[in-house]
Amino acid sequence: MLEPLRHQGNHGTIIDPHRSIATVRLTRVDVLLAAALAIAASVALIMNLGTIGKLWTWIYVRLAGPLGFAGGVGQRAFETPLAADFTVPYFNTSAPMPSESVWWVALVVTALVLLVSFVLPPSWLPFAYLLRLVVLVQSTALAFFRVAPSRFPYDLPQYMSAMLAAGMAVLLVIPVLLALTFYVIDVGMLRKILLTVVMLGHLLVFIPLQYAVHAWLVLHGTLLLLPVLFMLFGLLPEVMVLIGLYGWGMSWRAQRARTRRE
Amino acid sequence: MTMFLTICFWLLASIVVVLVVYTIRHYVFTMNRLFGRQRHPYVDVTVARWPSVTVLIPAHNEELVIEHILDALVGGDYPHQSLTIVPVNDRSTDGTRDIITQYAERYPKLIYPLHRTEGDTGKAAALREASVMATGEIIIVFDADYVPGAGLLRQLVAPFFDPQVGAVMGRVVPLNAGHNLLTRLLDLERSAGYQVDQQARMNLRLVPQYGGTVGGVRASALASVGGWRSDTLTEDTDLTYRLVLSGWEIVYQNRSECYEEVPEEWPARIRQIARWADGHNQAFREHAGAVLRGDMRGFRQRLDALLLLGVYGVAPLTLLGWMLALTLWYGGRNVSGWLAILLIASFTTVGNFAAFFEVAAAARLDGHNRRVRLLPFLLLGFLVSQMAVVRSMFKIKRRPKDGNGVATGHWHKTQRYRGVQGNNLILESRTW
Amino acid sequence: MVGVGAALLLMLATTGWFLLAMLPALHEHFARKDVSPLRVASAAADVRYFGLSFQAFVTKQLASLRERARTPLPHVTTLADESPAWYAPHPEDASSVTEIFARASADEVETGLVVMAEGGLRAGNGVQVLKELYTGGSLTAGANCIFRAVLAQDDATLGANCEVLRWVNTGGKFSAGRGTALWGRASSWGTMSLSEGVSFQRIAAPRIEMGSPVRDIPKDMSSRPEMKATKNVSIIASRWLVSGDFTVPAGESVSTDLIVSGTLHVGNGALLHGAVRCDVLVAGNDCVFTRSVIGAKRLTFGARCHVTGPIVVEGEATFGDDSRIGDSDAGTTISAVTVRMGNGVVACGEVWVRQQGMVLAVRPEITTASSAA
Repeated sequence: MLEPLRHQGNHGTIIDPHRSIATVRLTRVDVLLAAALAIAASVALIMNLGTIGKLWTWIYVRLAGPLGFAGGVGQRAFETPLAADFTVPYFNTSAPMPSESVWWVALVVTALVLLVSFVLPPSWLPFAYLLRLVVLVQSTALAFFRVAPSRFPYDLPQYMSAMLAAGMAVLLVIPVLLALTFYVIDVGMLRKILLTVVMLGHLLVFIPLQYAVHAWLVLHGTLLLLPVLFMLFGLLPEVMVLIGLYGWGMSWRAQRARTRRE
Repeated sequence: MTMFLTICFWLLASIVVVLVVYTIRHYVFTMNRLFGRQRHPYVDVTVARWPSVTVLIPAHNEELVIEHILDALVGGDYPHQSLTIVPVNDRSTDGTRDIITQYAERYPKLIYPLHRTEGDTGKAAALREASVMATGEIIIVFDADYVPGAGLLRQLVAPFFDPQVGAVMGRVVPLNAGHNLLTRLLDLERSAGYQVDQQARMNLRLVPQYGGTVGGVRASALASVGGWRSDTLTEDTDLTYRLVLSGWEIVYQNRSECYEEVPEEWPARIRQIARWADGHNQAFREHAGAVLRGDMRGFRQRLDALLLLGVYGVAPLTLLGWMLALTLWYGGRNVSGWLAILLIASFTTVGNFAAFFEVAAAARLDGHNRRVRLLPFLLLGFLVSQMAVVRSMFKIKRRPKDGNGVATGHWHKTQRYRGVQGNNLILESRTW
Repeated sequence: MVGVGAALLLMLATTGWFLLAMLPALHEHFARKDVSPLRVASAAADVRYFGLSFQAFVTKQLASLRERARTPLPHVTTLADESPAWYAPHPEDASSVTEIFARASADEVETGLVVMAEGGLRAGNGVQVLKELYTGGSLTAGANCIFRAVLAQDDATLGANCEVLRWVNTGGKFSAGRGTALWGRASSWGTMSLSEGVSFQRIAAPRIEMGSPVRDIPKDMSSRPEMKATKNVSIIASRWLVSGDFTVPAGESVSTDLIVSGTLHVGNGALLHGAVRCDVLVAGNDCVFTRSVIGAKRLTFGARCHVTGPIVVEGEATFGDDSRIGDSDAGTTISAVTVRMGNGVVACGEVWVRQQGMVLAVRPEITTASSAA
């Protein structure tokens, strides 16, 4: 009964061990619960891959008209070893190759962006680097389409279906990722479930919207935009979403006092 | 063309393997720090017959901060009869010399200044020359902007009671953490680097890194590996490897905390990273062979030493991998099978997450959960660091020579901000 | 261009949705809720830290308590932090804690009151003080008492099977009866005497006597034949480095630092002038270590060993009867996960045990090759 008093300060608050020796208590039950939560979330996802595909198709069917995709929406099926095959939608419209004038305009814009990156104030340096990265990738696209435009191996439907499938894969990875990096942390079970739902829910909406934007940009900006969209605005924003929400989850208070293991 | 793409593919695969190894390392370190047994064997030694210590403070134009560190050291609890403080003023053109002289007059038996007017410039050269005056069994080094607490010297000296310990490193805590986004991000990075990386290395008996400040070295160990070298860009990394390759152990003390100032402007940060990268890569060239040959104890230690040496190679490797991926993509070598897509998605997410997991875990251990929310901004910090490292690798470096053809160094230091913004030291609250 | 408006809306929605995930980061960036640097404390590791902090608090309180006291008898009052306290104003009397508590209501006893006495204090058997206890004189407690924290200006004596939950700090001598548990920190400026069966975590005093009787054990520094380096010894930077196990024969001496990766056996009466580092140490009786002894797993010292320097082990340290650690003119530190102290052991300085230390009748069985010889 008096044991808790050994760890209380003069105002009755728990005296945490100094940060240099503090650890997080992880019991076998915690590990089992983390595994159970990850498995439950994964199973729920796998069982609903088809439904997610249908949801994304539903969204694309409604977007195709207003966005001007005359070819409507196609579907590509993916067979998985998980006994839960799924389909992903795409706008059934081919994107144009860049014309000579589009190429020159792109070159000028790229040069301007590069210029802007050098005149930004020092406190904006990370953004300047980000711009230069965009310029770097766009330069490769400009070079490719100048030298061998006919050898560009992608079209819009193929790109969209591959990226949406990758998005589906990202969704599937989330429970495993959280099991490894969040479920083992000392926050309450409800919060663990909450973060999982929020992450999945966010990406469930974000992924189809993101590639719908890509499709529209490529349709009107030609395939010249595809490399930069793929390299910098494909999986990267999805990872950023995960990191943003993860940072939020990891800022939640601990459920119990920290321990020391030595 | 097919052959070229095949080569690109295998090159990329090799890079991915290296990156996976570093990712696993992040996860192992973080898990160990969060849940493993923590080693801090020497931190309890508070009563002892303390050995003689020389504190070296290399200083070049440090008038804003030099007073603080001298006050802190003089007011510390290390027995004065066993303590010698040597501020090494290297050609300062501001008021540093006068301040040091005043302190030396006030504490004639404690402070023995060295005013350098000739010879190589730079911290390494200053240390090399000052080590002649270092008569203590233990040499502790602080940069001039550091503010050691009253008990810090004892804590840093305690591990040297172990005759196998050649060097000790303490934890650096940014004093100007909240100044702007950059300092807040650096605070998170420092936290991860010390709270998790260094402590996990200590826990796992790997190779904690001697960082050249808030740390010390045994004089006999230093002498046995040839003393300070003035021809290195980062004398601390170089010394770390010379010591461990000679069988000395390096100890990290997470409890031995000391304030420092971190850069408040991006260009300063870039210069800092570039210098570290240069020095680290120089150490890689000089010591990787010896590490690979097995001049160290244990496979785990060798692997860790190698990964630590190669840590600044990750940035260019990532960039190269990225360019290779783009090349393969242009070549139509894109994945289409579901399993391959899943693998790439896993690599992108789990791989990228490793560093963020480490940072978040460190901040939580520090009890500052809320600042973890800044994680997405760290991507910007990482981008700048990557670019700085890559730029430094492709820059042609020539060490300036003096009239006799001897290489001379530079004072690579970060701008000081204390006093300018009135950063105050933190006061303790008391409990019982 | 077809669908520009719809596309702009879509882009806006997508960006907005993306930024939703960045909201916590953006909010923290602009609201700056967590921007303070880590607090670097400089003195918390001091064994007397809590005692000294409380002393500073008490010193501030006493002046006000004296002013406000309307009776020389113990009475309930409040401190500056609003916490209720029993104050015994008379500096001469040794007030009885039992009597003080007899006057308190059940509620007050239940929640606990800070006890502050200008004079000495007595506590009968079984008394519990679950808040801080301060005495301007000495504290004498009976058996089975429980104290949260004790600050005594003079001596403090605890009877058998008492318990101190957080810390005890005395200006004079401190003694703990059989079976007493000292959790947290115990320190005294005078001699500390711990009876057999006392358990402890962190203790400090100029002289700590364990069990009884405490005899006079002179340190034998007479010269011994110097051991010659054997084949398995490498000499690097004036240190002996040994891979594997190593034995220092009985009655011989080693004058350099000794680093052994395996088990180090030290024969009876050996003298080690250098610092020692090993995985496991098994030292015989009457050994002398003039510098530090560091172990990775276990250190076992036989009877009447002397160790002058710090002793650090990441496992258990066992000290045979009548061993001596540190010197009266220069204390030292023992740091271990668990410690077993034999009868008559004297330590000068500080003992820091991460789990539990215990005063026991320890007679380690020493089986070194040399001592057997």
